[in-house]
Amino acid sequence: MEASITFKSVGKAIGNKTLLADLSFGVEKGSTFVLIGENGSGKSMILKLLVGLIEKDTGSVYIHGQDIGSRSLETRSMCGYMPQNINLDDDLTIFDNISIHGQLHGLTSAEAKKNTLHWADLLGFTRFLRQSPHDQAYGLQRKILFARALVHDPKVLLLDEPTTGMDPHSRSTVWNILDKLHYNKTIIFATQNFTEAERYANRIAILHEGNIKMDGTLERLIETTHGLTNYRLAFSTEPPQEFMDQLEQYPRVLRPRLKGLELEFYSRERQQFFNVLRLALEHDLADLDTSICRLRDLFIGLTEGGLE
Amino acid sequence: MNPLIPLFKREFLEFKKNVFPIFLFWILMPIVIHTFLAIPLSRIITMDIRYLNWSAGGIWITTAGMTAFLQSASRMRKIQFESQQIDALLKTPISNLDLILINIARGMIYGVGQFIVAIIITSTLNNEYLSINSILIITLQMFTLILHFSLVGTLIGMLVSNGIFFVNISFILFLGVTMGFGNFIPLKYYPISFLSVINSIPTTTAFENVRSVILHNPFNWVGFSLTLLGTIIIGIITLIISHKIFRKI
Repeated sequence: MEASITFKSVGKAIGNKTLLADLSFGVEKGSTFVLIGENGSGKSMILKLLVGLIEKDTGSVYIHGQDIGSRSLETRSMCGYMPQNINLDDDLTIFDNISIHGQLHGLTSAEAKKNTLHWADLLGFTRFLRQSPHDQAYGLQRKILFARALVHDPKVLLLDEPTTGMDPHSRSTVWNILDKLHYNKTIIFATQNFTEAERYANRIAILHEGNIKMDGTLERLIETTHGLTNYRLAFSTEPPQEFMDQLEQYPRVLRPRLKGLELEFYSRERQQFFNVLRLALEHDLADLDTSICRLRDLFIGLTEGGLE
Repeated sequence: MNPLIPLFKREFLEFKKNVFPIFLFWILMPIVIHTFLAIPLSRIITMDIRYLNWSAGGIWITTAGMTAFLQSASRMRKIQFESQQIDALLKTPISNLDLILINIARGMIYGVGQFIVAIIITSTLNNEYLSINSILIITLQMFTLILHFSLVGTLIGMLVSNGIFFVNISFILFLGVTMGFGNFIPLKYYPISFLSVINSIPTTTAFENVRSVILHNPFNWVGFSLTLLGTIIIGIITLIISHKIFRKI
């Protein structure tokens, strides 16, 4: 498949702190790519770099074959960007915020008006268009940012935690729109919501300390865990410390954590679970749950360790 | 479409929204300075011509210059430090130069508006008559000064993130323009050592030129040219600094 975005050995540092470390990856045209990572892992940095809000120190980045350094005006016009923070213009109405933005991207006044009304209608804020964005709820302000990112019909859509602060109905509207758009646009979104990442992304990249630790389809990522399973045991009363000490006798019981009355651990072997279960039955076991390893578990394993 | 057009449209929409307070400010500034500064000083300072006619030049410079400075500086500070709109603008296909040009143009438009209102008010209050030729020379000189203040405002707005520090700078600039460059107190009242310093600043000559028109004295083209040159240099510095500040963390 043809590449839409290519990162080649991109580095960025501020002082002694490395923010992006020799980052290389590609995103295919028409795909939905998600960046997952802790706060400060470099997700927003990658999106800002693509729209030219920050400059890289080393390496090259291409959008549709054009270098973002030497052809920045062209690459910026191809991108629609929804930031994490609200940066709407309080001196303008919601309509003007979106329409002027479209015109800055080269739309005529009439085209900008048409597109603004179209997105406002789809996202359900037409009746607020003549009001100031300052007076609106956070969720609505996020929807305005989403419409602003889409108003000029960009080829590449960069969304930084797009549904944060939105109510469930608005989230669903946004994802339905993205579902329809992803056939002819490249979508990159950063999120900490694992469910959304699993549900909507074609490809997932887990970022840690400025570099991609793992990258691929969800199925491919889960395959790499080699059958790692997540187990949760709930107790009626808190189990004694000696119970936790006994778990240490089983080295293939991975990352056991007691949170209140719930014990969570991982293992690749079912027999290990039976061993723990046998011990747990002696200590007021109330319930149990098992699930195959998901994105959240992979993320914890990669960023915090303990699942190797 | 030229990106400057939607940027101008944005400025017009903001102007339309705030038209009443803007006009109120334009009208009140010259009246307040005339009443609280020029009239009291006219009772102390003696000179060959009527002091209030002479000080009109100071009113034009102070009001138009400060308006241009405050408008360009506050807008640049707002987009860069307060609302982070700079991110929304810089991700569109506009260049740093476009952004700086529109900010300077904003300062100039508000400054010129203030100058027109100020010249009408002072001429009315002082029963002053200015020939077309005098108005043209004053306008030429004032355009340069307004551009100068607008550029300085853009540069300050780009660099000063601290609100209190910005207010301090604005206050010091206001005091400097009104009291430090002979706009309301003739330069003969200042110590010689101080004069040797301020006379070496081209802007002093530019201020002097405005008053020269009122006094029917010859126009100092060297001072005018140096002010224009200084303004162009500040413009280049502003553009260079913008490349260090914008698109960086």
